[in-house]
Amino acid sequence: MNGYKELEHTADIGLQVWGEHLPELFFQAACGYYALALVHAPRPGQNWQNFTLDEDNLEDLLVTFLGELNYHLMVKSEYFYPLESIQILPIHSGYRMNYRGKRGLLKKSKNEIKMEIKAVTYHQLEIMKENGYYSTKIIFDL
Amino acid sequence: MLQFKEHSVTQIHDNLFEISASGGMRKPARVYASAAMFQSLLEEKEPLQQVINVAHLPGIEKYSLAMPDIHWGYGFPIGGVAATDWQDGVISPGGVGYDINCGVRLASTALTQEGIGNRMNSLIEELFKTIPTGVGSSDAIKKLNKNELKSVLKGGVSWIIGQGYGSAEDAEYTEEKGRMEGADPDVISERALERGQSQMGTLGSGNHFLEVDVVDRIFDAPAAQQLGLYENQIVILIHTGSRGLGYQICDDYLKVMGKAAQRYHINLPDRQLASAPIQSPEGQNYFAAMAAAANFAWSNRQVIMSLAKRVFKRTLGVSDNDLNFNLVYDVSHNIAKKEVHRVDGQEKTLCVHRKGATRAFPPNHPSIPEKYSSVGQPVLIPGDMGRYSFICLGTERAAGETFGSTCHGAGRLMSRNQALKMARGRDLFKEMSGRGVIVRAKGKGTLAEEMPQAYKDVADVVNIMHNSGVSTKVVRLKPLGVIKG
Repeated sequence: MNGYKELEHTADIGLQVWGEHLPELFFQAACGYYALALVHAPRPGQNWQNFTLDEDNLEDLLVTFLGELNYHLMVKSEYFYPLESIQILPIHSGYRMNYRGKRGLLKKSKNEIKMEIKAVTYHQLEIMKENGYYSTKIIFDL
Repeated sequence: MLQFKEHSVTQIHDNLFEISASGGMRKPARVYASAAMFQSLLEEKEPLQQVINVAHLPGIEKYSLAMPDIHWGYGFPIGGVAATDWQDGVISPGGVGYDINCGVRLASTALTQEGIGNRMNSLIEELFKTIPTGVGSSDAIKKLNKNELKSVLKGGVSWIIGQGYGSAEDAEYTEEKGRMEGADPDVISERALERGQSQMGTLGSGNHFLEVDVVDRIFDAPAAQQLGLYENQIVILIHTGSRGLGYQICDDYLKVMGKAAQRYHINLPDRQLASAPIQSPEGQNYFAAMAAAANFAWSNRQVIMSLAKRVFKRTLGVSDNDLNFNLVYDVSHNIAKKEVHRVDGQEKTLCVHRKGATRAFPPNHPSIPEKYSSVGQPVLIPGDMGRYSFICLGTERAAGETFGSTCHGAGRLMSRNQALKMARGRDLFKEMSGRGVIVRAKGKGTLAEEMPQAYKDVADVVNIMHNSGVSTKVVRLKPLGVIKG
């Protein structure tokens, strides 16, 4: 099963995410993030942009990836949807993620952001593989 | 004898519990809580485990401490205090939190509730229009250029006062005089600087607020008089921090510290305690960046207060003399500070991490304003928007037991979703109005998420510290009007 579900948390908010492979896990994490942060599901953006991220391990890569989405949404009112061509490759110093996303812009006047997410945390974050599926929890600081 | 996992627990007095040091703990842990609260913490497990984890930090002195508003955070619990040796200890961004120098500011006026009368509605409306609130709120004042922003980051409150926001003496009534030494904008990322440029003078979202309150109860009349507070007086309370600039600095340095912890072979039970020796380049750079964010936050609250004062004058048509608007004090509750404390009978220079904890220095301490020297440092403890907040004072007991620290607030009782569910079908604006509180909020769900029932009763927290003699109650404030993000 691929997907995500919101986790109850007293002070902050979290996601449980599943994916049959790592790119799917990262894609579902992004969808879950946008579902938490935005009032409505993102409309497809206009222009494709390519991204590459390098990190020491998969957990760092996921935090950096979601952190990038969060920075662009909270600071620039930009989102990237759909996200495609997600590749996660081992490199000598850890992992590389390549992806592309269509850049869309929110209208600030419409209050399209549901909640201000300060940061993606490492709390309880561990990417695991069980029964052929990857899964992880992600807690966001509000 | 109580037990928590492999640790024995001793009740020191009615409101203080000590968890013995074992395993990798370098010091014991101490938790201020009532017996009922501590029982809940034993069942919840995670917050206590975090207090224990903090006791593993290299260079930690005396105890890993938790205040009664403890709840789990990232690495450190919220409500956590830890002091590390300035020369041989470590510094940890997890001990400060994402919202660097989140804090509270109290300003007094010469107005009374009756004096404002039915103009409270228009006052709150004007405050809401003037002070940007909500997600990514910006442009309260002209966007700062990079040089101006760097001047704020280095100069703190005094620089922003020089730009026309407040009076020179305001700096005296701000913790650290509104400027931490050692701030260096050059160790801050471009992204953090970019986030700071347009957010000066903004409240943000979540539990941040500006309240118009009335002093509704006096516990210590001589101390209240010294603070310039009296019954039925109108005051304003501001709760916010360093906004996106602080979040970005924390995020940036958590990565740096994660790698530094490996480089310096610092083994910790939770990666979110990532830290570096204070004297290492990574430790020094984080301290300089954090100090810059702290200076931004004090300036942010200074600008908001100054804008609020203008709204009061404009809306109520009162002169400076009639308004007599004065900053009582401004405290930080998310910060790491270089401070001198007595450890085993000797003065030591320490790095005191306060994450969801307020400085509470005693009478005659050189770091507090001369005006308050006889009574101690004002401590500002906000509650939820429907009940009350407290103004307390620091004590000698705090200096001896908690590195001059006390609690910081109520803490949430419900998740946001629980609160939203509970609010369904209710007219919360009407309910708040029925309590005598006018609320303006930008976010659709803010009022539901922040409703009083979503929070613990702050009086329970404040009373534990009062009864422990760590911080003593002076006055209680009741909200009349609130603006939120």
